[in-house]
Amino acid sequence: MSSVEVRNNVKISGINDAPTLMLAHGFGCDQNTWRFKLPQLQKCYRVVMFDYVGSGNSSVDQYSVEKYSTLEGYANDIKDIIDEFDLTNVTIIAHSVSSMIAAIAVIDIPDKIKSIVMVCPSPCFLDIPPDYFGGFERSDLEELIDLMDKNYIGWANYLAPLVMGGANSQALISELSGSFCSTDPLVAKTFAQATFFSDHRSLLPKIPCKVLILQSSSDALASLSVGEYMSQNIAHCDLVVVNAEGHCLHMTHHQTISPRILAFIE
Amino acid sequence: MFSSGHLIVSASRKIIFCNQYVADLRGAAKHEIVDTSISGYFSKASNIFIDSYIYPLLLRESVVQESQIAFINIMSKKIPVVVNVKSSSSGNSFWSVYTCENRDILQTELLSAKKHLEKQAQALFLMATTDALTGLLNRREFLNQANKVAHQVERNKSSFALLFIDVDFFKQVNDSFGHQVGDSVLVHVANMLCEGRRINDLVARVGGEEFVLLLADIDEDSAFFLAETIRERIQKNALDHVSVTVSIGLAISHKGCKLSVETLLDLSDQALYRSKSGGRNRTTIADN
Repeated sequence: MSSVEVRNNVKISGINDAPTLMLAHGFGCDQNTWRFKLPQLQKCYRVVMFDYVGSGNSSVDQYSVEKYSTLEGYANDIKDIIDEFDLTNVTIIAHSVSSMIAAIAVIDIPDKIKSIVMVCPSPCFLDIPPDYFGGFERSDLEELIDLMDKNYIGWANYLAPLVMGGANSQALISELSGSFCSTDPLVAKTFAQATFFSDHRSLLPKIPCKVLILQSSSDALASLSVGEYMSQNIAHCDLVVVNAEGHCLHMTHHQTISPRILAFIE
Repeated sequence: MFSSGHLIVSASRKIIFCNQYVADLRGAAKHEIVDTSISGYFSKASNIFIDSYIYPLLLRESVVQESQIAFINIMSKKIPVVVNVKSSSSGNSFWSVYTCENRDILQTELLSAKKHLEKQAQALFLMATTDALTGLLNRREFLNQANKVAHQVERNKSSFALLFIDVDFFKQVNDSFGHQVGDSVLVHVANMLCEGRRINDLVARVGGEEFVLLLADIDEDSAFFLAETIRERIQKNALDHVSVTVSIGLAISHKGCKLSVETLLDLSDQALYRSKSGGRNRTTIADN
């Protein structure tokens, strides 16, 4: 197993000669959030799943706060994986902040990435009057960091039983390791700061490939005006608003969005 | 008797049921609360937390325990609460909510104390390991880091160089222009030593006007060239018309030869002495 494969816990499945899909998870989770979509995608495509360093089952010892305190660091994970496995004509299906991460990647290596599906994206969470309303004030986002600090203990307690323990728990750990959703609290906080305090609107016009945006009609993190703004500023963009609530369409409404995604990829 | 709020929330995030505790907390009647979206009852930040941590975790684990978030009442006041959420196969989720003002205050204080201590620790670390005037490593920290670099270089079967650098006639600078100017000159020299520094190189101030530069993974010729480049750079770049030169002693740890950093420091110091007695403003290589 190559070092990138191990580092990012890369899992490739599906049909070898079919077009390549890369599934990029969002903040707070790992590749397991794609498990609802995976069976259907595996039938027709070559599916590449991974965890950003610090999330899921990636190599935590490769984590650096400096590298991953900006979205460029995460985009490097994507580029490294594409490089390592010699992927071409990749369609990235990206959830939430991974949409901007994928945008950074495609601007850097446009010849490798064919298209991007953005599930519940936002280029900037802050309200920047007079024209842009990401939905949040700085004080809201600072409260978020505060909440993450306060819930650190709950987080750590969740992880603790698996971290402690002897040889027996190893088997348990590897079995349960696939079911982790939370990441290390410092990693999550760094990811949160990279995600929520940054403004990536300037990337939108530079995205060279075609983009499909799937948005919830009611998403606390991305209002409809954000979707509108994005589709207006990305050159080749389709915007689809799904009648749903919440920020995890690929988990809660995976069946609804499937036909849209499949139609787009073709 | 301990009581808590109970909510049943549908898969589409609508409140199906709430108890009186929740109604009291909100400051509204139960019937006004039922059939509204749960996101209206928590702060924006809490909603981010719910959407990116609680719900995804719930979809995988069915239970999320003891999360502290902020409830919003009818007057838009934030109330710290702890929630325990359980999901069912129907897609509904069961929320138990209780206020935790005291816990919140305590946690806020603890976190603030923790941050303060972390800042203090950082400041202390810097004080213990760096020279206050120039920001360069101090002697102790230099030796500490140099030994690590030396081991690394040895493992790579490579070599490293030590430059012992001393400002010529520095006492005269202080006597003629005063100590403030003298200090500025030292800072100026320190900055020039750091120019072009590579990632594994170390720069330290080890005496009043003495500096050491460790160059990792370098051969003798390149080290000499670099030393001369530095020497010339310092000679040519006066600070506010105060011009100084430096004398340099250079010692190399050759490949495969296990000379300690301390030994190399001695050797480069001896070479520095020869630079001084040979007329200053020059680099001398130690013979070892």
